[in-house]
Amino acid sequence: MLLRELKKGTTPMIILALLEVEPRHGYELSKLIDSQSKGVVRIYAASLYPLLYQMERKRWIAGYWVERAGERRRRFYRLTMEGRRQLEAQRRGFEQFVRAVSTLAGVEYA
Amino acid sequence: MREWLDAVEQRLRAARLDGAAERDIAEELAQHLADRYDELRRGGTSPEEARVLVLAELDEGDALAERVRQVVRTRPEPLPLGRPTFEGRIDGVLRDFRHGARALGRSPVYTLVAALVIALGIGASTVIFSVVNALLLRPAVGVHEPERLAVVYTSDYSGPRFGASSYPDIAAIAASGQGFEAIAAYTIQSFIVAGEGWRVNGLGEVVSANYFDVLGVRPALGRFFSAEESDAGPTAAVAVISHELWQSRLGGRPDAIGSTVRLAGEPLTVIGVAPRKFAGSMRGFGASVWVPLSAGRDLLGEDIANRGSRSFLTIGRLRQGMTVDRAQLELRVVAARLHAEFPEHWTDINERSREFTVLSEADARLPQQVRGAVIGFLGLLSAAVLMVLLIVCTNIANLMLSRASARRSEMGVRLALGATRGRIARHLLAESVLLAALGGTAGVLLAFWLTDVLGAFRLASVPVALDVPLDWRVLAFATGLTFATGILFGLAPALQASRAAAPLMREGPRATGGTRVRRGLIIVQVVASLVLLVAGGLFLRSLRVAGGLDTGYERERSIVLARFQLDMEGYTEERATAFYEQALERAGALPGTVSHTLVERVPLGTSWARRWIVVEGYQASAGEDMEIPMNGVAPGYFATMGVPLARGRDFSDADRAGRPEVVIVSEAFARRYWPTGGALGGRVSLSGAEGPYAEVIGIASDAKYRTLVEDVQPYLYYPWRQRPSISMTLVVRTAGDPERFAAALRTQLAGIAPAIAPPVVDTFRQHLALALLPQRVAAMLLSALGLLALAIAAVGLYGIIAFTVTQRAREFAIRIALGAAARQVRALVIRDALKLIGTGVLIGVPVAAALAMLVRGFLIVPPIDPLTYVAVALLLALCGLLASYAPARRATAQDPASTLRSE
Repeated sequence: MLLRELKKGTTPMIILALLEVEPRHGYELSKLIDSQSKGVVRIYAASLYPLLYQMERKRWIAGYWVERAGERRRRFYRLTMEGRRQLEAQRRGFEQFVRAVSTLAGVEYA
Repeated sequence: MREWLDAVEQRLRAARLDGAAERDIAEELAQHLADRYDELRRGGTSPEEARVLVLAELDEGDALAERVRQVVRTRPEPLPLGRPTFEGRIDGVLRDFRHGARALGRSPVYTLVAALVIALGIGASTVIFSVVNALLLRPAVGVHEPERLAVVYTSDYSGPRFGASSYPDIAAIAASGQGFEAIAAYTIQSFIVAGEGWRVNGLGEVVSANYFDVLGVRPALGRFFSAEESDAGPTAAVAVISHELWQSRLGGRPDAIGSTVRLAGEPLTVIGVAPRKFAGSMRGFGASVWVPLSAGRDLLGEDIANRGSRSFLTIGRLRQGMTVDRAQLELRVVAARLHAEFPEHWTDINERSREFTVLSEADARLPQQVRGAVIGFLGLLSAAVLMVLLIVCTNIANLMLSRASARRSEMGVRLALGATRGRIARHLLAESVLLAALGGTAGVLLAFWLTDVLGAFRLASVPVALDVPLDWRVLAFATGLTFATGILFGLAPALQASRAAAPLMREGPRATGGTRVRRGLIIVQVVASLVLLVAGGLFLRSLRVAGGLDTGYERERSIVLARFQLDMEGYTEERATAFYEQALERAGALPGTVSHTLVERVPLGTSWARRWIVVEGYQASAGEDMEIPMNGVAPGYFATMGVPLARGRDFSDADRAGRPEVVIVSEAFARRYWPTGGALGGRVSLSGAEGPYAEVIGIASDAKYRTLVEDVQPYLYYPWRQRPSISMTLVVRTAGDPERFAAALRTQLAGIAPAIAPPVVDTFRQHLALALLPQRVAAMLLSALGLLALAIAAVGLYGIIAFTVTQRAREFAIRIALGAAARQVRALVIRDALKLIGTGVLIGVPVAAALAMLVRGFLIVPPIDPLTYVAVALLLALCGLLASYAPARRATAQDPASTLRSE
């Protein structure tokens, strides 16, 4: 239960972090989340895209179509200035949160 | 790509986005799905499975459209955290049903077949239940507080408790004030009711004036009987008619009140119409007319003041707060007083007092003499339909299990996406309940139609009718049964699927799951079909054996019967006698007549009479039953019926009133009362020890008199002319074609008295068919249900064998590769099927035998009839062979190399 809520709450931060490196499209995001979390966090199309649209609406990210020769066009997302600020704020908040919980719950925090 | 676009667009439609936004979103999502699909395919997933997985990911959680709509169109709202609300739960259940409906819609053939099978099961059960309801459960229509109604019986002279009562005894109960607030007397009679240009052959009730008041029934029109029509008063020539008769014959007109109907020729004024559907107090005997006792006295031909004449049924209203047990106790006092006061009428065969027995109205809706048999028969039919329903359930469960294994990946994905097992089980249960509801609805429609057919069922010679309504009890039963069925056949697959789903994701789609359960279910089906088939077979065999039974009558097909109902036509004894003399004369003159006679009660029919006799020189031991069945016949009876006279002579025209009384007895009669011989010339009294005594002038061979399976018993014949009766049947033996002869006879007889109803003419063989009606109905229904069950079970067996063959394809391929002959592999498959059948037979035979013992009263063959059991077992084995033949062929048709490579 806790894990599920945690995943739900932290997915936007994870997406922001992945887009910090470079612009990516939705499918790439879902693949990266799966592989880098070793399957602990998974997000499927049904949840991913509504979340992306929501973040776009809040102007944390911006979507744009890219056409390449011989391929279908894809929609890429990049981080906005607002998104960068959000990411920093969320990282700080999450770190504080994790420290506090670890101390309280007696989890060793490296 | 097109496919993915379609899938996405279909799901987005509900969001009603504007065109451009929708196109962009659809394209983006479709691209994602196509990528995911390609990735899965590269990983080695089969195309079909990859498709299912991709779509399942798209459908994970809430509806896509809803989520998109929230963020694209409107301000996003914070997601509520915490426990699901009640509305949320309802939403969840509704979603389950929507999902279920979609899942069913995806496999229309499966859905249709399953629904049809369920419809047959539920329909058959509902019909049987509606008959049980009509006969036993439903209180009479229009009756006030039926729980306070009770019935009183007076014990018979020979002991049985549920005898009829005499009018003076009923009056004594009423006068005592014990137990009952009021008590009514009534009898059921066949009548011909006639009016302007119409006549109806039906049943009526002769009732005491308080009858309708006791029942608390209100007239639909006019009034019921009142104190003016008092039971002992002068003849009140009035009648109440049924709503049905009023509608069908009097056009439902208000001026029917005051009009005249003729009952047995007597004119009666209609004073009231009973409420719609009210048909009297006894089930199966739908009355269409009610007449007060004062008018009915003449019709009954009995003196209602005679305490020894017990011909009335009763129905009483218990005092407020009175129970049946309490009333029973209170009536003991009345019985003791009657015994003290009228010992000649109140002492039974064992020199003890007769007694009253009180039963609640609910327990007395059928005549007690047949109630046990009817309940037994209905129990048999209920057991049979439940057996079919069991087969239906196990079969659908099997179908669902095989679908469940095809949908394992879907379930696995759902689990992985965070669905709980409970959710998955709920989801599958919703699907099965939906399927059951579909089948149940069709089943109820089927039942509507079948009960209509049943309700219209009439026997030509017995005026029995039953209203079989589909009331709230039946509908509640059908609904309950439908849900129970849905949950029953859905539970196993739901549990199986939710339990098996997680490991299956890891093991891949080839893992076997639920095969043991499915094989177990097949065995259950084999057992149930075997039980049904054995039951059907036993009744069929009984019919065959009965057809070959020696009835004691010769060549029954050549005997033609013509029944008259002169008693209902208002004929006196004298007029009737003159009529029958003429009928005999005309029948004798008809070409084709070999011999002809009259009989008071056609043997092996519904009419039956016993009388107390005294045999001169025979000392009856205490408690010996001296009531002997007997019959009135005209000369020529023994020749016409083909019952040889062993000794002595037949009655002659000279044996008439005023001449010395004579009788003919059966051989069993002679053996019992004259064990050392001397029957011929012996003397018997039918009127008590004082006589007059009649001389035995002949001894007839034994025959069957009441049922085909009865033991040989004493029987007595008296000459018709010495004890005339108003209702006789003309019997003719013909040399020609009985059907043609019957037609000629009908025309010939109609000429005697054109005013009366034409006689009912049939052959003795047709008459015998009626005696076997319960066996015939049981044989027909049980065999039909048995074959239905067998067909369903065979399909199920085929399914499981085919499934096993697919699963063992690799094993078979290896065997063949290693040199096994195709024949050996086929034998392997067939042996597997026969093993299932064999296990079912081993379990089923003792079950069937135990159940057959319960219904042996209806059987003519012994319940352990080896022929039936062996035949059924062979039939099942044959079915097993047929069901496994095609899969066995398929097992060896594949090229083993390609089978092995595909792994």
